[in-house]
Amino acid sequence: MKIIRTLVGACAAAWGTGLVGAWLQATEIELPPDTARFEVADLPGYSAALTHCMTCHSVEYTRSQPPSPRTYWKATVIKMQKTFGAPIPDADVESIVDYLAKTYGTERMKSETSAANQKS
Amino acid sequence: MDGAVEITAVNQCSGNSRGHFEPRVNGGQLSHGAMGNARWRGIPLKLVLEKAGVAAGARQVSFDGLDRGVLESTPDFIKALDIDHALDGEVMLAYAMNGEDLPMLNGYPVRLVVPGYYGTCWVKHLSDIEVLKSDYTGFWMSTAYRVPLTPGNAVTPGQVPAKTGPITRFTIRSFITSVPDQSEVKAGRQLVVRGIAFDSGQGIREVTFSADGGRTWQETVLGKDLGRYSFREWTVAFTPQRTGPIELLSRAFNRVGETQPMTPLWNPAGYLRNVVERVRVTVI
Repeated sequence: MKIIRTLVGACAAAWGTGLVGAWLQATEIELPPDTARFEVADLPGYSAALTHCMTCHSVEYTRSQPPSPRTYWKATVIKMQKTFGAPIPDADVESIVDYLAKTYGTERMKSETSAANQKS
Repeated sequence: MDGAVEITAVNQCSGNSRGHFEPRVNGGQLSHGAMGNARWRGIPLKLVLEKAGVAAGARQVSFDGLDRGVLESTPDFIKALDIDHALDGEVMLAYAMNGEDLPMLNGYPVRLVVPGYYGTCWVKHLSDIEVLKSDYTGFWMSTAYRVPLTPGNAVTPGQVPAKTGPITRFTIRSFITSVPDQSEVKAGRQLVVRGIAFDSGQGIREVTFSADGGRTWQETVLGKDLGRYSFREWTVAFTPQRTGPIELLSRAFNRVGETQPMTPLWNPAGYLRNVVERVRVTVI
């Protein structure tokens, strides 16, 4: 369970009346547990994804994306790195993209389809 | 508090219902739940700006809150409104929701309320207001939360819009709220179907209802008017006759003649959805 502790009151007093410290009270916010986990894979990008992606967002956000090509996953990883400032080393970008494209992207479906075709 | 006003207004995420886009789009895969209606109490932004004094030549007002990204390097969430909008008397610095202090997750202690505009403008934990001589160009205005500047803000699926602008007002929407999708109803038994409708503040004039997938429509009865920015409840009595699958639809019209499209409009970010929604039920 993720709990955010915060001091409310301090800002309210400062904002509302200027009487800082008129009343102070700690409050807790209970957020729903984050249970989503990256799918285990024998790909070098798996551990890099574990290290870098969950700093800011849940795995639910990743795995709920519609079927998307490698170009989407690459643009997204680069957006996380360049635009949102995630400290993803350049050397890890391609491997994370590869893991995401093969685990959550259209490439997964392609490999599943071809595996199914080979069986039939 | 002197000058305090109260307004009932819908807040809705720009990407509400994104998960229903077809073809699908990336982003938070929301269904219809990213919206709510509440009574907001606060001070009109206009009063504060006038007290501070707004110099001639002011172009926009930017708003920053105390919330921060996990990483310092993530662009701070700062939004801006045009000066005329900021001074319209309706944009509010709200400190209460439904008669109580704002809950932390709703922006305690003070948030911006921008009636009729998407939630992205409703900056939480408001801490800084700045009047600017030029348009604010931070990431959350100039790159994120933008829509195509085309009729209906729509493009052909897959097309990259030539020109975009910041997302602004809600599109008009309505929902059936009393009958779940994929549920069963009894033939020959009267059902009172309930729902809600809202728009960006023109005001809902009429909501129509169809029990045959949109072939024929009937009037509904509008509920109490809580103000032009509020959900407007509607009800209609309906008795399913034949057994089998049917589709229930609702369609809202506002006071300037705008209505919901029968087929969805598409944009790359999955914003502004307002197609007539369908509730599929089986009459047993």
